This record gives sequence, C-alpha cells and structure tokens, in this order.
Amino acid sequence: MIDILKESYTYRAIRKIVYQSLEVIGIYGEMAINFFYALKYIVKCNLNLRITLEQLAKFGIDSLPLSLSMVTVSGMIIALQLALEMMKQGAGNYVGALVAVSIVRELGPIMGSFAVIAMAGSSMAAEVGTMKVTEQVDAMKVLKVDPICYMVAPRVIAGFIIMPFVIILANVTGIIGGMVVSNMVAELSPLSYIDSVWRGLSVRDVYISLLKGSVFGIIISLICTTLGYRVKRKGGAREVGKATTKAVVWSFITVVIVDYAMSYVLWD
Amino acid sequence: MEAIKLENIHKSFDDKKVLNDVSFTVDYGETIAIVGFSGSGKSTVLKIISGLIKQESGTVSIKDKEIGMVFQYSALFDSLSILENVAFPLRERKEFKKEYKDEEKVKEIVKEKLKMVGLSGIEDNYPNELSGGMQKRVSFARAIVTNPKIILYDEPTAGLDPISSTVVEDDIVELKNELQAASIVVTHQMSTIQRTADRVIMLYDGGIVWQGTPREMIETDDPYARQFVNATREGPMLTAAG
Repeated sequence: MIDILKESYTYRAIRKIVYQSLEVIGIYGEMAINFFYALKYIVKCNLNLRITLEQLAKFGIDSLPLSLSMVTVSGMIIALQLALEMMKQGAGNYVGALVAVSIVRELGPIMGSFAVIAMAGSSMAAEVGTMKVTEQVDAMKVLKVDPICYMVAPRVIAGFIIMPFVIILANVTGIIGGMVVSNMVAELSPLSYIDSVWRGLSVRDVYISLLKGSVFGIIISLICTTLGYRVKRKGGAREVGKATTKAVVWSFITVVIVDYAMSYVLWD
Repeated sequence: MEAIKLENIHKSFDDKKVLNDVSFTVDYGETIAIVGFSGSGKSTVLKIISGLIKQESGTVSIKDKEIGMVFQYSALFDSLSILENVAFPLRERKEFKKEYKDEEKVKEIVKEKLKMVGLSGIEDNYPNELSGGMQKRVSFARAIVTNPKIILYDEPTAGLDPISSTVVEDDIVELKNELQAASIVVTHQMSTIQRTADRVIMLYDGGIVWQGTPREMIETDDPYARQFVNATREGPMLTAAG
C-alpha cells in the first residue's frame, strides 16, 4: 500500500515541493549567516582592501556598459510607447515625468541589477564555485583565513557601495534615452521634457532608487557567493555551471521580490 | 614527543563507514606514511587532523595550532601570483599582519621559503604558468611559510613524472630535517614511502590493517602489506577498481 502511494504522481510532486522548499530555506538561511559574518568582518575593518577594490571595479566598471545600455533602451521604449500617444491627447508635458518616474523608481534599479547579475554575479558564483572544487577554499581554511572574510565580505561591501552609482548613472542615461526618442517620435522639445522630469521626480524618488541599488548590491553578492560556496567538490565543473545558473536565477527572482516589497513599503 | 594523537576515530559519509576506530600517534621529527588503496580513508584522516571535517567520534589531540598542508592538486590560488600565494597567510591573518607590515620583509620570507624548496625567480609568475612539480613545491612553500610544526601531505607525488617525484620526496625529507616537524604523507607510491617515511600505516576498509617501517613493509609476510607492495589482485584487499 505504502509502495503504491510512493509511486503516485501526487506523492512525488509533494516530495519535490518539500525538498525544494527545504532547499530554499537552507540557502536563504546560509545567506543570512554569511551576511552576519560578513558584517562582523566589515565592522571590525578586517577586510582585504585589494579584493574590495577589485570587486568594486568588477561590480561598477565591468557591468556599467550593460547597465547603461539596458536602462537607456528601457527609457527609449517607454518614451516610444508614451510620447506620441500623450502628445495626441495634449499631455505632452507629462512624458518626461512618466519616463523619469518609471525609470528612477523601478526600471533603473531593476534593469541595472539584472545587468550586474549577468556580468558580475555570474562570474562571482563561478569563481567561488571553482575555488571550492579545486580545494582553494579548503587551503584557505587550513591557512586559517576565513573564506567568508576573504571572499564574501569584500563582495558584499563592494555591492553595497558601488550599486547606487551604477543605478544613478543608469537612471540618467535612461531619462536621456527617453528624451531623444520623445524628440524623434513626437517632436517633444528637450526643454519641455526636462522641465517635465523636474516636476515629476521628487528627491525621495532618487533616494529610494539609490537605497534599492545598495540593497540589491548586497543581495546579488550574497546570493552569488553563497551559491558558489555551496558547490560540492565531487560535483566538479558541472556543479559549478549549475551553481552559476542557479545564482543568476535566484538573484533575478529575489531582486524582483525585494523590489516589490520595497516599493510597497517605501512609496505607500 | 607526540605532536599528533588520534584515538578511536570513526567517520562515515552517506552511511558508508570510511574510518573505523583509527588510532595512531606521530612524534615531532617523524614522518609517517598512510597508505592504502583509493577510497580507503587516507585523505579523510588528513582532513580530520587539519580540521576541515569533523570526526563522528574519537579524539584528535594536536600539540601545535599551526598546521601546514600540501593538497593533492596543490590548491594554489590561481588568480594570485606565486608571491601572493606564499605570502597569503602573512598578509591575511590578523596575527601576522602587524608583524609583516613591511612588504620587503614579506618578500624576503617568501624568497627564503621558495629557496627551501629549490625554487627562485618565479615570484611574479602565476600558478598556471608552472609545471605540476613546481606547483607542488610552491604549495610546500606556502604550507611552511608560518613555520608549522605539523605538515600534512596529501598524495604529494601523484601525477608527477619520476624525476619531479624524486625532487618532491627530497623536499619532504629536507623540510622534516630542517623544521623537525611531525609529518604525515598520504600516498600509494612505493618510492615516496621508501624515501620519506619513518613509519608506515596501512588503511583498508576504514581500519588500520598493518603498520611498521618501510623496510619491514618490504620484508613482512603480512598478506595486506604483501598485496600492496606487489600490487596484485590476489590478497585480502579488494580495490574499488575490482
């Protein structure tokens, strides 16, 4: 009877859901622990400055072209959809405001984070995973250097510091992209577009956008290093590949969920 | 004087018993070789001593906190130069950071340790630019940079050509003599056993089945030791390869 039950589709589906839920809890739990220890090292100022600077460059400079392009194109698409229609309705004065608000509040932080996940996050997970597979993490432990201090903490602080800069630049280029398209498609003058941006945006919007950047920076570095760190040595290259994919997917999902939560709480 | 003492160590992985009541001691200035077929638990012993994994039961007493370990595949940090690899604990550990604030002093120590293993002029190279034997010797230098009194070698000559193996074996002997360290060499190569070990411990099926000197290993009639030395299928030990 029990065997028949175990063979059933429902049983297998429930078992899979339970296992995956446990895995999710496990990964987020591990992330929380890593965050706690990383914070401890950051507070104690026990960070490797060279690695922190390296990670700042990786987060910021390496992913900047993609972040800027993605957000710029997003701004252009919004303007393309809105400008002509709003001009027809006599609401051309609101185009800049609408583009700016959608970029600064949502698309800038989200698209900018997606670019950082693709460029820096994936390589972070692969790097840490490879170090795990090739026993470099074990070597570090035997040399009495805590891998969390050496690998996780510098990435967390780098994400926290540099992401707002990436987001602010991306926001600016996104708004400019919207301006160019509005002018091309609907012949909306740049001056009235900029005027509309100033009227539509508040300082609070910008602050929250920057805060989102910092929070997403921490989330991306924590998820990617934690999933890289969970790679088992016996899994080899395949496990590293899986961890990298997982890190990207998890980062995307977590960033979107946290973005929703932050928007709900901070703009409500 | 005992540097390492293992008493009744038990360890399993996924219900598979890897170590079953393993006990032995290692003195300062002594090198023991742990031998056995693949999967007999040799590397697990090293990982327990180095603190990388915990035993299920039994006690591990280690006199010295500082342990140097040479990994099977060297485990050098591939994104760091040789200088940075060897200097790693000096630069990253709080207790050494103050002492080795002066970069020239760090470089001097690294050069000295590399010289001890017969290397020089490679400080600016990266691990992937070196041969397997050289990588292994760099990992020796990294292992001894904090002057440990306990050194663990996990298959130090695996995958090396005979001449590189001899060089590495000579390094093990020289380091033991110079540092008077307690050393454990995990290996299944007879040349490494003969050239480096004072005592041999043979593991099979998670337990110690034979121990003695390298000379006794050659001369004994013990079926386990005989099978290992003669590398035959006939004998009490079944290998993972069948």
